[in-house]
Amino acid sequence: MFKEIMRIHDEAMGKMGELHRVKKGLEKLKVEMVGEEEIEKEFSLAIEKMDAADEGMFEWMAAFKDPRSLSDKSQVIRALEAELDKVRKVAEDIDRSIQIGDSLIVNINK
Amino acid sequence: MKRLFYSSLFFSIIYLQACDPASDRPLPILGERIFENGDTIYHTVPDFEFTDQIGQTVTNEYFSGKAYIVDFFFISCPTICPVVKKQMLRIYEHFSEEDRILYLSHTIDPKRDTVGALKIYADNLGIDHTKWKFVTGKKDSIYEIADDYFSIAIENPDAPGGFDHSGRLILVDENRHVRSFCNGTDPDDVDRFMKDVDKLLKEF
Repeated sequence: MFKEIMRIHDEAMGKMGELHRVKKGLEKLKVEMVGEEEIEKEFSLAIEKMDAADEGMFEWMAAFKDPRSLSDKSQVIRALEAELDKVRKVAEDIDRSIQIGDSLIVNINK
Repeated sequence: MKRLFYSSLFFSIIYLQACDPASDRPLPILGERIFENGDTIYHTVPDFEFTDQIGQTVTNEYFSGKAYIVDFFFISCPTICPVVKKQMLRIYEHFSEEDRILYLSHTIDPKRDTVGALKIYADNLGIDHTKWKFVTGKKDSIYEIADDYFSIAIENPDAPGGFDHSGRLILVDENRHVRSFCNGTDPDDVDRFMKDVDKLLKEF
């Protein structure tokens, strides 16, 4: 389970560059959308989601403690399951925020 | 007869090694190049300004006239970074007597990897703070420079995964040109990279 947690983490971390590129694209387009309040709001929300997703991953890592050294085996499994849930959520947030940002850029460029 | 055979073999190996075109060839300058009025303009690392582990501003000027090795990391990284740092430390120790090589490690978690945290981290590695800079800055600036380095060091930009967490090490020459890179999680590739560092030093 520990390996699976780290695999999800590594895969999600590999998307951070993409997240920042999409965010940069949104910020650039947002500047061009001055006056278009609805679109501006949508862009701001997407950027916020990206920042939150990015921060979520780093927060998770900073708080992560490898539970495998605990003496109680059932405690280890419970802790690993909890970490697996957390890292899945963090990875999903990253994926979703990139998707939202991407689709906003695609739609605006149509 | 046997002696003659072995001495012939020995000299053949020496001859072959001396004539291996790959070992003599200088390292290529990597990245995009533009041809303008008969001149070739190579990619150069853009201007940057970050803060190091002792709170000093670090710009390209600091690396002027030196080669340097770059990586991206963050202190709380549980997987790739510790492996890469170990390899980076191996390179640092291998070239410990060499003052023409510097090291530049960018954190990608500036919120938690503060100047103080970077200082403790660097102290724990036991490195010389003037030779190895651990830098922090605005997250956007860090990702921008990462994009620039890795647009060169990535073999296939469409490859899944992404580079930010790939553990790549980048070798930059005294003219801000990227000359080599390796996978910092693979000791064999790091060995090959160290030979590239040697090769670059011969150009100085």
